[in-house]
Amino acid sequence: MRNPAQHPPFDAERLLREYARTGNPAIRDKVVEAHLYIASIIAKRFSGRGVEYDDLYQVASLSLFKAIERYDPERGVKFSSFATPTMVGEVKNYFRDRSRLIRLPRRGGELIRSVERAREALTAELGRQPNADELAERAGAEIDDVLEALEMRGAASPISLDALPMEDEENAPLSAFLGMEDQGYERFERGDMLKRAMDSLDERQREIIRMRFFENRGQREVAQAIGVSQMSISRAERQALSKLRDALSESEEKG
Amino acid sequence: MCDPLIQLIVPADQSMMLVIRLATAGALARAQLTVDAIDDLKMAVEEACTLMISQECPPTKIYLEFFRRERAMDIHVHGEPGAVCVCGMDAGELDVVCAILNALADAAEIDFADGRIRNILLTKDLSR
Repeated sequence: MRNPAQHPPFDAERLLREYARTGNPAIRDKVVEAHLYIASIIAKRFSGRGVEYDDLYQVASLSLFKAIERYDPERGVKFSSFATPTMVGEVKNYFRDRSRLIRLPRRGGELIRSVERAREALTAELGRQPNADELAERAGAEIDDVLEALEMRGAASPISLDALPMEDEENAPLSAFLGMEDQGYERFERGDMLKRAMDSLDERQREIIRMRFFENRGQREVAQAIGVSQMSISRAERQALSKLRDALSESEEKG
Repeated sequence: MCDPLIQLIVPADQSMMLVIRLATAGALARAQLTVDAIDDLKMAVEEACTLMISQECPPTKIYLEFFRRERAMDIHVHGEPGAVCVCGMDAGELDVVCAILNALADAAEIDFADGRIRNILLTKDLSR
């Protein structure tokens, strides 16, 4: 993996001292670019747990900016040593936030909800995160069930509707398996109504409508095909459309 | 070194991760750790096991051992004794992985020698 920060003369600490003094964003960007390889490694290590590499890379990369703003060059810590835990922390928080957005099926969901409620209440009461024993006691559950619930909460991860159910088969994406309203009935009904409305026209009007709107031919072309003036076609078309409108609104009122 | 409090031996296969995570959660819960600390250590252990498994030539088994000290919990991750492994990861990436493990546990050491990872030690300070 390319690691530009490792090769001299790149000196992140010197650049960051300069950035702290001048606030020049070009210097900050240079440091960010030189450390994106860490974001890439972190994203690679944490991907495959229900979150895509690209999302994790984005979270880790953005946290580089935070790390730069918080970094104090005078403390003598290497920037990469300071930035990595910051980036890991952001990725961890991303996982936690995401897992709390998921709604699970009832059986597991109820336990998870009661564990989450207990966790929030105990955190407020104790002023710290509770341990598993305290959680189990408050949630009125066995400790093993609480541990499973916590694991289940982390295991629930959303996947894209564009994802293929099985990677090695030529399957349709998951979105193709979602139920939806069948448009066929409506199309059939409209087709039937139009057919009955067309019956209200005489043969010449039907021919004009067919050529104009089903074959998308211009008025002049239709006039030539039938052997009349364009003006006659225009008038006949207007009358035919008016009849069709009446017939269709009558059908809709009946329906 | 004394006998481990818990020793788990599983095939070196990614499909074992749920077993590893649950066993880790169980072991750590009994050390009175907070749920967030347990979450972090589950990630660290998973990462350490993944590091072992994803070597160019991995061991066939993963040994996960929990040792309880007075104010700390040590977790060792290694392959079966005598396993011939080849890491295949460049030193820069290994440094970052070590930093990741350090960020998830209170301390982490990767025992790397002869081109292979011999042991990963994660330590959780229980005195805080």
